[in-house]
Amino acid sequence: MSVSIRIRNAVKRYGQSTVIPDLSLDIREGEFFTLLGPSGCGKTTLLRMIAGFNTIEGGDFFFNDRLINLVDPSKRNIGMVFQNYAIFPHLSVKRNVAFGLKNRKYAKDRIESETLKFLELMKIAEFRDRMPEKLSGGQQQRVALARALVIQPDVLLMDEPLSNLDAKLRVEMRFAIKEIQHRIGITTVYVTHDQEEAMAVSDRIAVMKDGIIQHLGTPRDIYQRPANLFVASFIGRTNLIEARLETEGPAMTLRFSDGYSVPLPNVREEFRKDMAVLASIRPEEFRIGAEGEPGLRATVDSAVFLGPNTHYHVHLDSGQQGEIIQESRLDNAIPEGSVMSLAPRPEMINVFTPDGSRNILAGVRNDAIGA
Amino acid sequence: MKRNRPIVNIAIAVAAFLVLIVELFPIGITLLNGFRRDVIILSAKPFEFSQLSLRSYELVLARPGFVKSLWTSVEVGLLSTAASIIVAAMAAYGISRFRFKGRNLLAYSFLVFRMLPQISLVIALYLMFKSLGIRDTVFGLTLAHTSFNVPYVIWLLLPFFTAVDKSYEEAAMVDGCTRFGVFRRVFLPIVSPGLVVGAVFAFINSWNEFLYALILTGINARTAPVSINSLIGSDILTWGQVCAGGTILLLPIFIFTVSMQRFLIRGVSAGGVKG
Repeated sequence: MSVSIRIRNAVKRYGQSTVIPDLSLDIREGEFFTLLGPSGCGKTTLLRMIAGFNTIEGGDFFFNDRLINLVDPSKRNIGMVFQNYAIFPHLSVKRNVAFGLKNRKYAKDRIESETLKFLELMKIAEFRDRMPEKLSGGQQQRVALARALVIQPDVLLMDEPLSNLDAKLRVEMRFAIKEIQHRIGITTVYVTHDQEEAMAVSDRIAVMKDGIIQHLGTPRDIYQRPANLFVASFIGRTNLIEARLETEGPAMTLRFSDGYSVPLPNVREEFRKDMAVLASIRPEEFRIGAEGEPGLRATVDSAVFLGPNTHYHVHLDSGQQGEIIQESRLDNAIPEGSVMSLAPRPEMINVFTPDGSRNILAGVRNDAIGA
Repeated sequence: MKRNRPIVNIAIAVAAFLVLIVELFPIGITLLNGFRRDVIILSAKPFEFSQLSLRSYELVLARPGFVKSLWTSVEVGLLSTAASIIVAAMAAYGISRFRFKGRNLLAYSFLVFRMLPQISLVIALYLMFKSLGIRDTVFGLTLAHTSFNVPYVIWLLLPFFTAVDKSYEEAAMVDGCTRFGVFRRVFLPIVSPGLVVGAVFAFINSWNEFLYALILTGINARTAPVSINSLIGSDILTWGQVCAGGTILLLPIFIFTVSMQRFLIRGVSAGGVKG
C-alpha cells in the first residue's frame, strides 16, 4: 500500500544553525518525487526527517493521516536506498534481501518466495548466493533496491542512489529505477543534486535552496517556466541578459541594451510597468541569423563541436558573454570571430525581477505551498 | 644513487636480521633449555644434540598443581575475555554512536584506568576480595582481570566501531530492527574482525598477568605464571623446568598470534559500503 506524505511547517536545527526554517510539502500517493538542490540545501536532511533518522525541531509529518513525528524508523514501514547502498557485508545477497522479512517474522516459505520474486524483479537472482564484496557497483545497487522493496514499504526513500556509479551505468539504472517504481506504484522520494537525473526519473521535482522550496513542479514546468532566477540557472544552462520592460500602450516590450526588442504579451498584471529586468534565455533558444538581421549582435569567441550539437561561446556588443547551442548540420558551422545576429524565441524567454526572486511572466506552475 | 641501492638493501637486511636475532634470543634460550637437564644448564657446557631430553617437561608436568594452574589460566583467560568483550563492545558502541554529556570524559577515564599501575591497586583489591570471600577463586581473579581488560578492549574497539558507516544500522532499522537487534545482528558481525583482535589481546593480557594472580590467589586459583615463578623461588635451581614451563606458556600465544594475523589484515568493512 502506498501513502501520501504531508509535511507541515517542518523545522530542522543543528545547534544554532537552522537548516530548514519552515517547510511545507505535499507528496502525492504513488508519485516519483525528487528533492533537488545544491549540496547543503537541506534535501538529505528532509529525507532523513521523513525516514526518522533526524530529529524534528518543529512541524508535523504525516503518512496519509497518520502523524509519524515520533514513530521509530523501524515502525514507519519505509524502504530506503542509501548513497553507499549499505548492503550488509556479512550476509549473502539473498540473506540481505530476506533480512527485513525475517525481522517481520514471516513464515519461511513466504520469505523464500518473496525474496526470490524481488531478486528476479531486479535481475539479480543468479547472484543470490554471492557475498556483496563480489558484486559490481550496479549489482550492489540492485541488491539495495531489492532489499528496500521486498518489505512492501508504504514509501521508498532514495538518497543519491546513483552518485557512486559510472556515467553509463547511472543512465542505465535511472531507467531501471523509474521502471520498477512505475510497476510497483510506490510513493518515492528521491534525493539528488544532478538535475538531469532528476528530470529523467521524476513525476515532480522540488528545487531546494537554503532549506526552502524554490519551485515545485513537473520537470517541464521547472525547466520552461522557472519560478525564479536560482531555479532557471540551477536547472540546465541559461544566459542572463540585462534588459528593460517597457509599456507601449497596452502592449509590453522587452528591450535589450543594443536596442533590439521583442514583444512580451504574457507579463503578469502586477508587473505591467516600465522596469529593469533580467532576461533568461536558454542556449538552445536562439535563432541564429546573419549579421544585420534583427537580433542581438554577437561575436563568436570559440566553437565546440559535440556531435549532435555545437556549442558557441559568444560575446555581445555590451561585452556580456554567453553560450548558444546549435544543432550540428553538415554545412552550418560558424567560424570563430564571425559576427552574427541572435534572435531569441520570444515564448521561450523568461523574465525575472532585477533581484531574481520572481518570474514576472504568466504561466509559472508552482505547487510549492505558499508560492 | 641507483648503484648504491643493492648495498643499502643488504645493509637493511643485515640490520633487520641482527634485530631479529636479539629479539628471538631469549625465546630460543627458553626453548632450548627446556629440553636440557638442569645439571647440564648449570654446568655451562656447550650445546650438544645428545643433551636433549624431555626430562624437564616430565618433571614440571608432574609437579603438584602445575597442570591445574594451566587449566586455571585457561579458565580465567577465557572467562575474563568473554566478559571483557561483552562489556567493552557495548561500551564502545555507546561511545561511538551516541552523543551524550561527558562522552569524551568517559572515554578518557577508561584510558586513565588502563594506565593505573596495578601495584597501587592490588592491596585494595586483596582487602575487598577477602571481605567478599572471593579471594583465591577463579571468579575473583576473573573479575580482577576483567577490570583491566575492559578499558583496554574499549580503546582497542573504538577505531573499529567508529569506522563502521552508520548507514548499515539505518538500513537495518528501516528493515524493522530494534536498536539492540541492529547491534547484535548487523553491527557485531561487521566489526567481528575487531572483536577477534580484542579477544586475542584480552586473552593474552590475562594469560601473561602475574601480579594480581600472585597476590589475589593462593592454592585454589593459582595460574601458570605464578606456578612457574614458584619454581624459581625454591632452594634448588630448576632452570630446565622453568624453561619447559615457559615454553608451554608460549604455545597458546603463538597459536593466537598466528590466527589473529588474518583478522588484522582483513578490513573492517570489506565490501558492502561503496565510495
